[in-house]
Amino acid sequence: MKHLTEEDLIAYREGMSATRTEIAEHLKDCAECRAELVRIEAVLAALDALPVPDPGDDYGRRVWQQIAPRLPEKPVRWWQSWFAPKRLAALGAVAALVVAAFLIGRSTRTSRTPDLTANKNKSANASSSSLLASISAVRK
Amino acid sequence: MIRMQPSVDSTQVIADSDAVAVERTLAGERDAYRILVERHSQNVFRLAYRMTGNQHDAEEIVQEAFLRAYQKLGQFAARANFGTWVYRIAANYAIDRLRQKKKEEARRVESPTVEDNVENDPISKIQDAAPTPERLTQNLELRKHMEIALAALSESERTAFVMRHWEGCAIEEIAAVLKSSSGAAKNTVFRAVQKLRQSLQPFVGRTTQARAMGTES
Repeated sequence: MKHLTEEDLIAYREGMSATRTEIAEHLKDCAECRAELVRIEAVLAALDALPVPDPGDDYGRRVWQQIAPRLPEKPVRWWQSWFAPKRLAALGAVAALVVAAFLIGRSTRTSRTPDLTANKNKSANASSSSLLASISAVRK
Repeated sequence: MIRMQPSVDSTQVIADSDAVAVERTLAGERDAYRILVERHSQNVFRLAYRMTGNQHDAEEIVQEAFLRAYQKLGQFAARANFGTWVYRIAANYAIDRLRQKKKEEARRVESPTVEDNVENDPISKIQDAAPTPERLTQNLELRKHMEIALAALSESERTAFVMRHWEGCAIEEIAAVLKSSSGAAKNTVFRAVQKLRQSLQPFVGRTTQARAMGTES
């Protein structure tokens, strides 16, 4: 007989099993799996005995008293949250960054063009002077 | 499962009246929020306590959860269940706190003394109905081990276990809190039970054996 796995038994015990009926059928006939389930249940039952303190019947009232002074006058609706000062400031900052990046990009492109020409001229001059030098060396 | 499952009818009535309270709060009637706080505080406290094992932390989580829920109330879909929603907010905040606490504890060099542990342990404050010295020692020892075993779980495992085993939450609800798939949430519950079993089986076995032998009164 193929026994149930620990996962099967945990899923069965915690009500997460998709094959509940089959597991129940197997447990009827298999003493070994039943004993394993009892061992799992013993651990869970011990945990269930861990107490949770009772905060008292007036707990909800006390929570309200503690949080009420910290609540804003009115909660904002979802569309109003788009106009919150923090969000607007963040949006403004992002927009400013985009504009700044665009302007910087433009100015560097225009100033880079003559530089590139100058560099090209420089390298052309350098290569022609090295060519002249090598010709004169051959002549010598 | 410990959580008392309310009937479908009563759940619907509460959800409907929650929806009315939410609408009234959004319309500017701040006192309507009080109804929601008073109605759901106990449940949120129980969840928070089981997740943290500490009353002070649990109370802070309850307050923070209701503050956050109020701030986000405009984003709350009226068709959803307020109780489930605030529960989720509390669970997420509890996970953050547990993570933060673990980091702080890791940073701390010196470990607390045994005396401190016993003093701070809520379990040690519980009065036993028939406190024979053997039983008291055994129970205290087992409870200590249970606290240690729960604390040794990862934040996700503890959350999944508390929400499923103690609070009877649906797997989809747990998955939403853990930001995972339903399959992954199920696996987290398995892992948690397996780990708890591994840590506690020897002690539970001993207590059961003692009970069977009649050495425990």
